[in-house]
Amino acid sequence: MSGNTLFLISLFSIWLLLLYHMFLALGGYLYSVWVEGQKQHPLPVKKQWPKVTILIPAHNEDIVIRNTLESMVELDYPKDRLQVIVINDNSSDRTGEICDSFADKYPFIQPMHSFPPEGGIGKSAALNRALKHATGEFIAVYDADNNPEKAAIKQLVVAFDDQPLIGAVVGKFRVINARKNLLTQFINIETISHQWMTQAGRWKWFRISSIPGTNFMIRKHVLVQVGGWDGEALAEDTELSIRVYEEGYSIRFYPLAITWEQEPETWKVWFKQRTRWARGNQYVIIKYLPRLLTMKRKKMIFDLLYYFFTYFLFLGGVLLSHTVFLLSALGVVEMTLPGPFILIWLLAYMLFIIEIMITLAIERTELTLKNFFIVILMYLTYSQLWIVLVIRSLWLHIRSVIRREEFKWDKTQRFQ
Amino acid sequence: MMSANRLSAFICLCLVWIVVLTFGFTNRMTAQADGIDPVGLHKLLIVYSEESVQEKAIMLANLSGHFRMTAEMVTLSDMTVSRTKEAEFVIFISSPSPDLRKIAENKLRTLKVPILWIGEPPGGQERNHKTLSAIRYLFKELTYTDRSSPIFRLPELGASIKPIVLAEASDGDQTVPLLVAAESRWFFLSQQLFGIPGKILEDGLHDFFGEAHEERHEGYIRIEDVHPYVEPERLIKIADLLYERNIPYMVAVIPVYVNPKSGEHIQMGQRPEFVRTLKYMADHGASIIMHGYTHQYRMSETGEGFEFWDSIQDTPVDNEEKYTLDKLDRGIAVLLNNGIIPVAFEPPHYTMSQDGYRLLSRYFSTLVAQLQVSDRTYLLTQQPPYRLDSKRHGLHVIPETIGYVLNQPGYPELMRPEIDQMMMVRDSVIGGFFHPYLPIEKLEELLDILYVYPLDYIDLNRENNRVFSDFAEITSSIDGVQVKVLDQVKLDRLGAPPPVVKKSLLSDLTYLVTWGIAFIVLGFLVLFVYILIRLNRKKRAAIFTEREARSR
Repeated sequence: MSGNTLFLISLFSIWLLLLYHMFLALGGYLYSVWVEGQKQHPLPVKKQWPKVTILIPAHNEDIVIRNTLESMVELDYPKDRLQVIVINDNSSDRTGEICDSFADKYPFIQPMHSFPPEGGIGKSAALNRALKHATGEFIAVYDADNNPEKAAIKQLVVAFDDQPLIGAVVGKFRVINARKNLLTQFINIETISHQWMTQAGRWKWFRISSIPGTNFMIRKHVLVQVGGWDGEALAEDTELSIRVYEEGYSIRFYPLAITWEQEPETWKVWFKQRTRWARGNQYVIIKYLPRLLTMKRKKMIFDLLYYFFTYFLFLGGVLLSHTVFLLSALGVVEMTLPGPFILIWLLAYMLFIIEIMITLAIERTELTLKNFFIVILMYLTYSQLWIVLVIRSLWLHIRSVIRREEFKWDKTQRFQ
Repeated sequence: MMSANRLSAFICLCLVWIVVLTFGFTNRMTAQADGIDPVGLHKLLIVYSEESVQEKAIMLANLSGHFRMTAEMVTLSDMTVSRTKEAEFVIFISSPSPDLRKIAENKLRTLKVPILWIGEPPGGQERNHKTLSAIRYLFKELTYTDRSSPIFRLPELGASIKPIVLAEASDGDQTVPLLVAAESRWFFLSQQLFGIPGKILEDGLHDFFGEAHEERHEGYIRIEDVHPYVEPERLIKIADLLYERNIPYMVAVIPVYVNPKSGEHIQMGQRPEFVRTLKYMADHGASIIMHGYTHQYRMSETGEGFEFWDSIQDTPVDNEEKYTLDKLDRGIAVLLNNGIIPVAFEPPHYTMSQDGYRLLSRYFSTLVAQLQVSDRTYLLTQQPPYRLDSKRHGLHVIPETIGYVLNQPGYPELMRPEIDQMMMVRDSVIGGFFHPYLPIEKLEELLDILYVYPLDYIDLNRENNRVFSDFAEITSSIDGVQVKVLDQVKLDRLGAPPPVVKKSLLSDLTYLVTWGIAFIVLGFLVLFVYILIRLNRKKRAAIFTEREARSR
């Protein structure tokens, strides 16, 4: 194959996604304008708030669980309509102890201690077990390091808007330790732009968004209908989203429900966590790609293709583009195609910067000169690491298939 | 795996190649051998005192090509009895060092052949004149004035010897010998090989070698740097003028024009009117000279740049052999493919390495140019006064001697002294060139000036010239020019106009898509900047709620 063809393939793979993201960024902005309008209205006064069960999976979380449970206590929601189940899953630290002390004081907090063989299998299994004890009409999930804002649960409930076809509502999460170091600043920027671009953007244009690991609410009957969480999935959230859509429900992104979450403060922890996510998403692609054409909801096909493009085509495009560049520099292949290639490379960089700056600007406190420089740096560093990460996770996947390994719940390490 | 069938086909192909290569090679060998036939030539030994005067030795070796000589060069220290044994003539280039001169004197004393001693004479080296700005030379009963340079005193020759003085120099006070024949010992008592003294020596070589050529002078006009973007009307006017006056002339054609800004190559085939004009000229007295292929190197402009010498680094061009052969192949092919038949070659700016000349001789028998003396620098070029056969390079050289019509007031009248000087030398060539972008009146004036001199104009097309290549062979003789095509396929391939970059579907698509992307993205960038500005304004105006909600 000539250098020209390779180059073209990589060019198209890359630009297909860049243009899609550009389109999403615009949608995200438009949705933020609507959300701003929503903020002006006070929360409705309801005579009877629906019963909500909050699930908090916790495995060795004694550093953060106290804060989380305090946030639960402070929630602005009638406590008689609230059930908080903390799943103390095979912890060897003081997690159980802390949970019990809260349960003594607050009857709506119910610890659930589990140990092997039934416990300690993974997040999905823990959630599935807790689900059996849930009494709420709505189920909300928070990770053990989350501090939801007072209004979060009410906002999530309100977002269902009495529309039965909205199966789940996803809130927004923000980084609590954003100012800690360069890594958490990168993550902060990344999470903001991810939520306003892929979550809000997709919701705006296609009425699609994905359930994250935390800060979302789902109708219990929907959860039961789809059969709970998939114990095999490392990214149980992405996978669950697809099944919810398959049952004919939609998932709404509603950024007025806010939680604050702790992010990795060291590169090692970050790398491990992201590898798990990447593997989780690859699992979803591999699981659903064969049934792509038989899927009931056509827009899910589109969404899955998006994941496929991101993890395979875009990656391939970037790698190919690097290779073609190298080979043509060495004179191995020859490129003779005409076109403003340097210009569009520069445009891609500018696009990256400005898209992110827009999503940061939505967040008011984040549009700073410092962040601008971090974004410029991010493209050259943090974003490039993504290539390494995806390749590594692909390799791990192939290795695990060969060795027939089982998936392990790899808990993210917390920080004081 | 290669099947048996394919293998035999491959072997056949190899054999064909071997035949073609051998054939091509022998072809070239005959080309090289032309004019170097040593039978009937006299052996000249040029001895130079030291390395620093090697260039002078080369220049004299070149000049000896005008005579029935084969020259060999040797330094004084390498000069042995065996090397001098066969010599029939010896020229010695002297040195300011008395020691070296002493050695030379001893080594040369025993030789019985004619010896021409150039520069500082044996014994002392007193100068014979006071330092003046100009000096007068007396030669063939005429007087010529030139810049001053040292003239050395003729050594004692012994009473029995009656020297014949062939030329003298005068500082206005006293007149001293410059070129002296003292039986078999000849002395040229100046170091100066350029200017008037140079001409005297060049003419005197006839006498030294004993070849009394007839007093006859040739002339030529060369129309220079004729590339595909030269205006045809000007060329036609020039052709008409010269044809009307019955003067055969030469046209130095550059087959490809390179635009230095775009790097675009315009081949003559892409300018049909230009080709038609050249044919018109050829029908009206013009002989065609190939003047390089593009007359430029790397990114310089056609007509400006050097082509066969790297003038920036003052070295031969990179990868010289392949580069040179490729350019020559293509140049000949392009010309032939357009029906223009070259009979000689002129390197751009007269610069070419010694190897370059040898490579050139595989293709052309005739060079119309001055000569780059060595590979040390391109700055030293020799302007021989007469035709010569450069035996070292295998080329017949028709020199350019009077320069060109400058685009300045006073020209071409100011060329007259050059012409007069050239007339000092027996059978000299009065050759100059004219750029077609100048007003044609200047050419007319030059012709008027030349009219008073007794010149036979050179008609290259009617002389014996040969141009060889793998794909075609050109010969010219008194009967005119003949072309024999040997390999039409190769000729077509090399000479075809550059393919108009065919816009393939792929490149069309890429071009469209990339520009499409660029415009869409640019549009969005503008929109996004606008959004960003709006958001920033709002940020200042609005109350911040999120953090407030969090403060518990």
